[in-house]
Amino acid sequence: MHKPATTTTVWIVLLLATACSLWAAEFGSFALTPRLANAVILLAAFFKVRLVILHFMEVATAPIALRIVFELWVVLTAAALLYQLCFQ
Amino acid sequence: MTSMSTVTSVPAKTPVRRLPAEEGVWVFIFADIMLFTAFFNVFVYYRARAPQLFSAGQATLDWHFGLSNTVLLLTSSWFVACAMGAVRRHRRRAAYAWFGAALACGLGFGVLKVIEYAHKIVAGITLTTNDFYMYYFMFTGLHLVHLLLGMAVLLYLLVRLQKPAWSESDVRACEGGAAYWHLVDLLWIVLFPLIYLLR
Repeated sequence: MHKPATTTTVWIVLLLATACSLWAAEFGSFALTPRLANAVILLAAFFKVRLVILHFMEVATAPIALRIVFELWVVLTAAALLYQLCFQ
Repeated sequence: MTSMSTVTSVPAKTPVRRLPAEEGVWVFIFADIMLFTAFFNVFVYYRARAPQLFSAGQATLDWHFGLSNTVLLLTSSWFVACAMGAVRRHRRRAAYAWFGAALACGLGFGVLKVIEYAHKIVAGITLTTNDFYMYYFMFTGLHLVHLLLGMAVLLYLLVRLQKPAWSESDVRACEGGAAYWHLVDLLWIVLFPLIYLLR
C-alpha cells in the first residue's frame, strides 16, 4: 500500500539521483575519470530502478519470491553493464 | 509451553505481504524487462567496440530532451502511485486527477520524442545512418511504443473508473495498469543514461 509521504520522498530521491548522474556526465569531468563517471551514472540509474521496483511497483511488500527475483535482476544487470563499461 | 510462546510471539505489526495486480501482469513485466536487458547489453557491447562512433553520435543528441523526458516519467510514476492510493481509499476525484496528470506527463514525453526525432530526420539522420543511430531509433522507438500502450491503459482505467461503484476487480485492474506504467518509467531510467549520458 502506498503511503503519500513515502511516495513523495521516493520521487524527490529519484530526481536527486538524476541530478547526480547528470553532474557526473556533464559537469564532473574535472573530478571524475570517464570510467568513474560511467560507474556513477550506471549505479545512480540502478539505484533509481530499485526504488521504482520496491516502492512504486510495491515489490517491497509483495511475496518474498517476487522481491528476490527483482533484486537479483537489478544486481546481475547492473554488474554485467558495469563490467563491460568500466573493466573492459 | 516454550513452543506455545514461540508460536504466539509473532510481532503484531508484521506487514502482510500481498501481490499487487494479477500474476500474469508480473510474468509479462518480467519478460519485457528481460527483452530490454538484452538491448542494454547489446548497446554497451557495441559501444565498447566502436567508442568514437558512439561518442560522435551521442554528441549530436540534446540531453535536455532526455532529461526533460526523465523528469516527466519520474513525475508520472509518482502521480500513478498517488492515484493508486486514491483508488484504494475510493477517492474518486483524486483518482481521476492523479491518473489524468500522469496521462498528461505521458503525452508530454511523446511530444518531446516526436520533436527530437523530427530534428534528427530533418538533419538527414535516420535508422540507417550508422550503428549508433540504429540502436538509438530502435530502442527509444520500442520504448515509445510501450509508452503509447501505457497511455492507452491509463485512458482505459479512467473510463473503467467512471462506474458508480468500484469492485475488488477494478482495484486489481488499476494495480496492473500502474505496474505497467512504472515499467515504462523503469526502462527509460536505464535507456536515458546509456544513450545520452555515458562518457
